[in-house]
Amino acid sequence: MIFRISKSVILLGLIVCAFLACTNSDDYLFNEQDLQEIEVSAVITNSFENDAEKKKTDTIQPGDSLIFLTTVKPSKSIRNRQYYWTMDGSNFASEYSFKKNINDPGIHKIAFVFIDFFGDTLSDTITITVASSPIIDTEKFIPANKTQNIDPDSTIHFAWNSYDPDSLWETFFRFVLQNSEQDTLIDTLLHQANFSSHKKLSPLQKYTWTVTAYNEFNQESKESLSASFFTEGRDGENGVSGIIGSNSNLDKQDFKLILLDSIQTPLDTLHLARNDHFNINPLAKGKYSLIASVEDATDFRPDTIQFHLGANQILELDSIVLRDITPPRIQTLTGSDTLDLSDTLRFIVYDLGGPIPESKISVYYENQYLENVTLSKDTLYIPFIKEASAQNWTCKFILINITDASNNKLKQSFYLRPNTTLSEVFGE
Amino acid sequence: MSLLSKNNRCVLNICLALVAGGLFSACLHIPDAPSDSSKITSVDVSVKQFGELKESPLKINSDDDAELIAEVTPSKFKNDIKYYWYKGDETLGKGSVYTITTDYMASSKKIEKHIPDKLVIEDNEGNRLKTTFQIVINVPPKLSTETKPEDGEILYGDSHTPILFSWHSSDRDESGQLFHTLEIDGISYNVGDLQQVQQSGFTMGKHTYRILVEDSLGDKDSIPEKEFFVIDSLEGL
Repeated sequence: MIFRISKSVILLGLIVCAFLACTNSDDYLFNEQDLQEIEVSAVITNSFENDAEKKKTDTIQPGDSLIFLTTVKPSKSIRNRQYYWTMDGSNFASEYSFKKNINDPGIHKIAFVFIDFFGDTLSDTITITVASSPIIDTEKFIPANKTQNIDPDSTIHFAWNSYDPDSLWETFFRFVLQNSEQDTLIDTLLHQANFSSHKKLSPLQKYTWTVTAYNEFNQESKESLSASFFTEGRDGENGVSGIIGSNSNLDKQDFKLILLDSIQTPLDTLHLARNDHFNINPLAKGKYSLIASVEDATDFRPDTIQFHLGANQILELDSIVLRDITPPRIQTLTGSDTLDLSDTLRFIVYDLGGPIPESKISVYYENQYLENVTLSKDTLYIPFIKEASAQNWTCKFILINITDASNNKLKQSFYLRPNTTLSEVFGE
Repeated sequence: MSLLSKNNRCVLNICLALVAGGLFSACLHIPDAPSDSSKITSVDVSVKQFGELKESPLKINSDDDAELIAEVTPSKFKNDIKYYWYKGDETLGKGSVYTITTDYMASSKKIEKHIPDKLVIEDNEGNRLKTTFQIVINVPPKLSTETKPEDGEILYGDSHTPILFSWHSSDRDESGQLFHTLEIDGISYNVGDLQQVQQSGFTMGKHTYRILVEDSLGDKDSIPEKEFFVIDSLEGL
């Protein structure tokens, strides 16, 4: 009996020992060092490139796309209950990273919410401002474009229309006033869509004013208002202004303007460069004519403009564009279209609309492009050494293409005489 | 003994009857329904002018009569209560509507005297509720009818000739800016506080314009549409 009891006690002791052995209670004690801290962060970017700038705040236009990225530490693969995005508290997305556009104007709080396995909620917030650029009316404003007779000594009032498409943001304006030499006379920021200039201006001058609208996020209006006006002449004084240019691609051209009165007496002569503004004043009331030409370029036809002055105004002529419609000329030294084969072929090339760039000359020998063609002064040199040494018993064809600076094209063919005969080449 | 007993029994019966009657009458007394007028949770004041009801701001254009209208919540009690309009401690009127005539707004002294700043409502049980408010009496801006160009004026020039548009506006109680809109041939230009501009771009013939002015409280004035004629300068001369 005692043996049986002691046997049971021993058996029980063994079971307890086995249980204790299998159970290490230390493992179930909270150890702070074993804690795995989870961190989440959210950013926005414009590109999936690694080096693309990542931001927590941004200002965009309605409809612009943004890439939303998240980081979960230690890893996105840790166990979690849920993750999602909200915009202003409403559901926005349910992916870790995605691309999406936002259309509603306003300041939006976009939060990435991560609920871990234990139900703890972690989140990170991005702020996005969606704002439309202000709009400025570039057609209707005061004073209208090219208004004449503005008193140079009085206050000039400018007014324009502008609005914020979102009806949410403040709009301000940058107003710039320049004279015809593009010197800035006024450059100011305004909170109202009008401006009064008290600056004394010169009579019979052209002035340009521009206005650009900005919202409070410094977003610029897509278009800027730009207009000009002319100040009034004094005591019956008038003026004439304009811009002169040509259809040539040349960087430098010299223009000449001759102003004639009603009986064709020259009153003034101006020497101008390409796209120069001219302003001739003061001029008395009456009829005038203006002869515009390109100096030393007779391919450009002179243009004669007749006009009448008579209301203390500056007459602004449309841009005077002189045209060269004459193609370049080419001829052989003999004037014939057939020439003898030699190691260098020479042609006289000239154009009275300005110099011809070498790159605009191409030469083909029997449809084969020839290189190393040079133009010196008015002589075109075509090296022909290899072909000259060969015996040709037939006429060869050479084609020359030339385009002048005004894009007038010349395409002319020449013929090379045979330097031998068929019988000389192949014998009797 | 038996007589006494009999009397006592009688008295006892009477007493019992009285007690029973009293109890019965007590049961028959139905208390009045509790007044629920004290359930009015709020009282607000609105301004009605030009057919529009506005709660905020309480602004009245001094050019026309206006009404102050008391509105209680819930509105079903609106006819069961008394309304008292006060200026300070002085009662100015009774009723849910207080009419402010233009005469009340004719001068600052009259405004001080006739424009209430407090409304008290009282139900039948004497429960009171009050609200204080501030009425802004706004003198609207005025546009002078003398403008340039004058109505029907003939002007000489071409499409580049500037034409002067000028007007004059004023506002007795506006220390800030007045905002003007110039409408030329149906095109509006927001010209802000400017009172003259020069505009060009007019074809030969008849043109129209009008001017509107608005103060910071939204009260407006305008002039009727005027017309002018542009004639070629050479023909004119």
